[in-house]
Amino acid sequence: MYRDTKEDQEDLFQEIVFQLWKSYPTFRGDSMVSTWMYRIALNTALASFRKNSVALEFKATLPIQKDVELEHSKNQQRMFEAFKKLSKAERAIIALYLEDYSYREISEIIGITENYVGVKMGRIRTKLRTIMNK
Amino acid sequence: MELNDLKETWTGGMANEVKSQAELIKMTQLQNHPDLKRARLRLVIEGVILILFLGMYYEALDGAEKSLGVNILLVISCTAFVVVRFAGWLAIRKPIKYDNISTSMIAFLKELKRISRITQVTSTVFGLAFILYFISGLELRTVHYPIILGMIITLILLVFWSSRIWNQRTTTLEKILVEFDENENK
Repeated sequence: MYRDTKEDQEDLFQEIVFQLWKSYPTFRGDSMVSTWMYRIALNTALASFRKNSVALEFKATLPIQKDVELEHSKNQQRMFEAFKKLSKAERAIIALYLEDYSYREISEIIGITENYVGVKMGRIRTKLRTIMNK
Repeated sequence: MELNDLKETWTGGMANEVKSQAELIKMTQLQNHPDLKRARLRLVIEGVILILFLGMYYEALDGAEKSLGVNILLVISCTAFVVVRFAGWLAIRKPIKYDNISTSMIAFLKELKRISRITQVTSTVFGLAFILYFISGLELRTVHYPIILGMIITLILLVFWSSRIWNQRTTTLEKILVEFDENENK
């Protein structure tokens, strides 16, 4: 959701793994490992400066997919396209929400109040509804 | 599509690609980091060129004919330029320092602004020292003026270009931080 091409996504993944490795000695165990990993991953994605490039992938053959898979991948594509229209900060919040983190946990990871997470989620919900119903 | 539908799509699409342990170990090494690797290569090339320059300029560019002050200024500004670039590279290696993303990004932005200011000052001083070195001890004739003007314009353009790149970086972070700031979004 922060990078467009497969290559850029791989690069970001690699940056995140590198940051996790470097930051692990500072992990104090106050939170769950998964929460800590999300914090590092989102922080890395938000702080990286690479410009978005246009995703163009050419394949020699057409992918063969079952109807259910095809429907699912269409939905996924729609979802990620909608996410790209959100701001970077909003993308971080929605990612945590979709990973089933509570408002309190999101507020702790991001460093904003629980109440403000609610306000942001309300705005994100409205924005996504508008984008996806177009 | 509501958020619950999105949740289903989100979780359904995950965990489709698993990296091997060997691949993950490779990713923890600095020489495999996509951006830092490029930045390090650039730093090494710049460092080698500038160290060679420092070693050779005195003979090649008539250092003996220039004043001691100008020679010292050139050596110090060139060394400062290399040291600051290296310090900047070390700083961007580890942006995550605090318990939450906002605090960590505020600290990173502060650090980035500090590096940006120091980098721009040292680059400008190095450029000016180079021009001053060129002019020093020279009997200025009409033919020299366009060259000096060209050097000054090039320096201004480089400084402008560098400040634009730094501004883009800091503005991106500032925009994110503004969104995380409750008071800014009331």
